[in-house]
Amino acid sequence: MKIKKGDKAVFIFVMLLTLALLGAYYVREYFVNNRYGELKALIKVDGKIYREIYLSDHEERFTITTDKGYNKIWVHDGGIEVEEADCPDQICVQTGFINKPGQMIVCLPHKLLITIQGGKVHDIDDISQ
Amino acid sequence: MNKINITKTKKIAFIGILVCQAIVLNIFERLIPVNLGVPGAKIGLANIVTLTALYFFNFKDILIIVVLRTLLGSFFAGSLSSFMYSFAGALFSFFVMYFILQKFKEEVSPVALSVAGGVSHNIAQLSVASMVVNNAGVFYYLPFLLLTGIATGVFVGATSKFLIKYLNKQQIL
Repeated sequence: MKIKKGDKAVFIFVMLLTLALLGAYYVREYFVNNRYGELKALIKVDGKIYREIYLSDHEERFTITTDKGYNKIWVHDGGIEVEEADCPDQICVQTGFINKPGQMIVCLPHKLLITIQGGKVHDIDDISQ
Repeated sequence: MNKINITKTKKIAFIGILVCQAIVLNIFERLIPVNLGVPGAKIGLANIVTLTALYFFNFKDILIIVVLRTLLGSFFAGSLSSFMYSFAGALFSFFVMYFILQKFKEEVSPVALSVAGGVSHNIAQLSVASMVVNNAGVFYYLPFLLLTGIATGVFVGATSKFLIKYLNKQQIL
């Protein structure tokens, strides 16, 4: 296959974009993971806060029901997952278990969003930085 | 680029065939459970149709194909909510691919076009998703979606290249 001028331009642009975003992702991940202590899951439905759950030493199963359908949530082992849902694409179920800050589960058909956020900042981290 | 003058009937027939193929590819893609490791990532086989159309039709005709294939595609193999994302993605990736093809003409291959299309599809899709859930945080997944977008883009582009070559050689149009 011959590489032409336009190919080069496209590949360079796409590569730079992806690398920049990947870099931003890992830099962010590094700082977030080093700063925060207790994690909490923030559950939003249709842009409004539904519930906040602190994840350490917490086990709970509950179901979020909206007029669009249901999502069964399972909080365990310092993380959270959607066990079952009646949405058509099942992306929220396939995302599986999340337990790191910044990770998220999205269920677009039900407008459900679960994000993990860093909770309290430990004092020792502030000093050691 | 060889956009040939064909009869109106032939054009309508060929547009119909392309749209049908896109729908079949959509259904076929749903049948094979490919897990690319990123939630929401797809191969995007139907993009073969848009790519092929780029080489044979003008802007207006391709726009018709893109609109029809996303509309009917989500009707047969999707849901109303998936329509919004695939529509935004398909439309934006078509504009990007069309622009690149106009700018570089012979100097760009279907593979590069397809990669650009795949990547812009992902960006448009996530933009709509972030509007729906009202949170810019879904862009968290963008770097990984882009990686899969490049990989599937190369695959789709290579496939389209064969189809375009074949159609040229057979002089069906």
